[in-house]
Amino acid sequence: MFTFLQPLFLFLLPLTGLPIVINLLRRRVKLRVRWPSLILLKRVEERRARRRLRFVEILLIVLRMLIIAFTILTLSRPYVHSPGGSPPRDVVVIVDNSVSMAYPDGGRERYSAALDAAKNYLNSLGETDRAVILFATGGWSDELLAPADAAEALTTPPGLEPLRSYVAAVTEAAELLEESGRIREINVFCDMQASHFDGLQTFPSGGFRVYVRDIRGGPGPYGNLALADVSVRPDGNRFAVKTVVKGYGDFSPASLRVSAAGTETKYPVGGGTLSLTYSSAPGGAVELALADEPGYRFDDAFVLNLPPTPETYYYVEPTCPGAAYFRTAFDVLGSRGLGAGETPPGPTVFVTTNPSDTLESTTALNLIVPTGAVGSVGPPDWGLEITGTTRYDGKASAGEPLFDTAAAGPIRVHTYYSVTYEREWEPVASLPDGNAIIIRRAFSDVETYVLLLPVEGENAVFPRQASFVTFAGDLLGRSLELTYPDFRRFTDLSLEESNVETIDGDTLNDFFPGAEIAEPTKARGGWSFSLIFPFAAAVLLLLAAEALLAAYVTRTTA
Amino acid sequence: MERSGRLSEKYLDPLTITAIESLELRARLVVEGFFAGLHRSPFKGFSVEFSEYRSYQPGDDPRYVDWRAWARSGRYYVKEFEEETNLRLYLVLDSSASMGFPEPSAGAVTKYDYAATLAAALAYLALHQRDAVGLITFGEAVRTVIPPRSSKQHLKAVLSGLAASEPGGDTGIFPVLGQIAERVRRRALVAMFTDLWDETGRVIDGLKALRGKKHDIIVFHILDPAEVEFPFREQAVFVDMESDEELRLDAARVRRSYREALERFRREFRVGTADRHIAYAPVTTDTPPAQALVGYLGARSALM
Repeated sequence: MFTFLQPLFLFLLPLTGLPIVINLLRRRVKLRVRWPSLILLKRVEERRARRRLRFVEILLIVLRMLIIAFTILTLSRPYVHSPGGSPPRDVVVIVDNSVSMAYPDGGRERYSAALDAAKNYLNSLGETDRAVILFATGGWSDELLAPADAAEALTTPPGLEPLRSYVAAVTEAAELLEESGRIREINVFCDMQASHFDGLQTFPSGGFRVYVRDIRGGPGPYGNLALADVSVRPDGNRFAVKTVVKGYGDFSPASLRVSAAGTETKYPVGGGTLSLTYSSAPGGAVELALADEPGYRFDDAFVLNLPPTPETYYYVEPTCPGAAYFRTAFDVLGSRGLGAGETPPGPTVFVTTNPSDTLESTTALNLIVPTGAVGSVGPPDWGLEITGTTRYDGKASAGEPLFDTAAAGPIRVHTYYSVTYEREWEPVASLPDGNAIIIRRAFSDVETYVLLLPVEGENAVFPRQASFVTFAGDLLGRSLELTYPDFRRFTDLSLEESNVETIDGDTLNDFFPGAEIAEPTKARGGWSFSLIFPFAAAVLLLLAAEALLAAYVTRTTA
Repeated sequence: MERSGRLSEKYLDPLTITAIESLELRARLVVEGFFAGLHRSPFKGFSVEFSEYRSYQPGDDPRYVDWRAWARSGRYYVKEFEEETNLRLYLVLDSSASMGFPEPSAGAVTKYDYAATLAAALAYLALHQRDAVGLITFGEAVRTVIPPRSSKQHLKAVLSGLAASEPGGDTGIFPVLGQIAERVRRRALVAMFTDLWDETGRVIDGLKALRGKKHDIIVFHILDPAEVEFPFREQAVFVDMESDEELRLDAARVRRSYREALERFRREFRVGTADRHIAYAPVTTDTPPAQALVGYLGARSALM
């Protein structure tokens, strides 16, 4: 089999006709001479026609065409190899470790499937190939290694992280391969989520073979997500916690683990809805975790820290990774504080930080749920829906106990929102006063996530907000698009949801020109031989022959 | 007179005349006719100037016996005389279209102009030596004929004839040489100015035939430097100035061959005329006319 490592140069092959074009252009008559007599010129022309000169000139043109052709072929780096074989390759394997890769297909997490596929692929490479593993969210080597050595990186894969695009990883891959003189191959093992290809539309894939390898093997995307929605209400001096777990599609065996007051109870989740009520000990905490069997994988997924004085207020302090997103949201929103003496409108939940925190160093986000609101918890199988209008009018300042009702002065309230827990997938809530805020805690195989949107506030920073929305979309495994008709006022803010767009063989090149869909693994074998040197030698020989002939013509016609 | 003055300015380059006079034109040929100036006739007999006595031989004409010498010595002597005679110089100019090269728009001296300059110089010189000068111009046939005269006033007529002719028409050197041979019955020096673009063999034959009539012949082969160098380097269409025939050529490709062919062409004339003592003088129009005449006539006089 004949192949080229740099096939783009083959587009230059039409230049082979250049000598003919030049010859034709030279034959264009630019000069007209009135000459005394054609007697001698006729004799010369006749003699010339009889001689070999015309043949030599044709030969010269052919030689020049061959020189151009062979030069282009040499630049294209020709290789010959046996059927099924391939010339030596330098390969970059990019493994998608975005959070959406946590979704199970057919009971198997995609990330795991991707790692296995990458490993198989590396094992299929030849001894002369070199490879390197890159993870899409970062962390990569800068050295091409033997495939077996490169596969070492797969034994200690990084965790799943939010990801916006493969651009950084692909760019890194291109830089790694820049100096390679072999076949240059970039493989992306991923779940084909379209949004991750943002920015690759103009990637100069020329010179690379780019394969996007779809590792999805399950019934359909995002079908195995389980949610746990939690509602809390006072029950005497205890809290009643209600959890809703739902499974979709081929839900893997899982259980909900509830820990409180030193005891733990597991509730199997079989892909349906689990509803339970658990009363905590006063001042205790309730920890909820959704876990795969047989092990718990989602420890600390969600923790309710129940306050010791429930008659005053409740607050929820997530300590799971999702707390970071609370902070992010708060950071976005936090600059909008409630003015002194200002009465929060409508249904209200106070959101604040710990009293000693500043906006710049918020460590946790507290949802302050006024006592009166708790009494009106919404539909029983929903999450927490605050519909009452109760205002906490205590005060707090730095260094003071945040929730000390005996303290004088107003509490330091950074902003106020209405909060709706919703079950299932609907992340949008529009509240009667036009404000909107969503907090979703979802037990998934990922982690808790929260989406907060500002109701209003001129200081809200949209880019961060949008980033947050995108990130939440990735968590959800859905495409979320934030729309807002008025940048300054977000009263009409809405969050639209649609199914995640995925790419396939028909649409891949719209997102990643030059790439092609490939099976997760590809075998290699046989022999290969570079033709660069023979072709280069041919060019040199042709150049020498051309020089000799040109000299002959010059000597003959000068 | 004014016209004559302009013509003189046109064709009689003072430098040319001066240069030739300093060499003392000594024609190698002694022609039939009158002696005038410095030309000596090889013929003895009809003379105006005594040369020598010699012993009477049977068959000598008794009219030339010097009876006084017989009276003094009792021997028969015959008087011999050396006679000075006029050179009959025929200036034969090719005025075919090819002599108009390069075309006036090129700003260079045409071959005809150059030839006329040389011819006028010779005419001027010859007339000042009281030689008779005639003029013939030709193309495909004889066009102008001015019979030879030796008077200095005749220069005007010759120059007028040169000026009146314009290059044009075809070349027919061979028939023209035949016509000249018929017209010029008395022995003469024929100075021919032509680019010789005709059939080489026939032209040589014609020259030999003319030479057979006892005429002495000088052929000034006049070419433009471009005809010698062939300075073209590109594709060009060459148009024959006489026939308007066109020939398309890659000039760079034929340049070398052309120059070789021209050399062969000149060699054919040189060789073909040498055995009959026909003088062949290749001249290019970038050669100063004086130098052309001096170089050639100087060499000829050395042969005398």
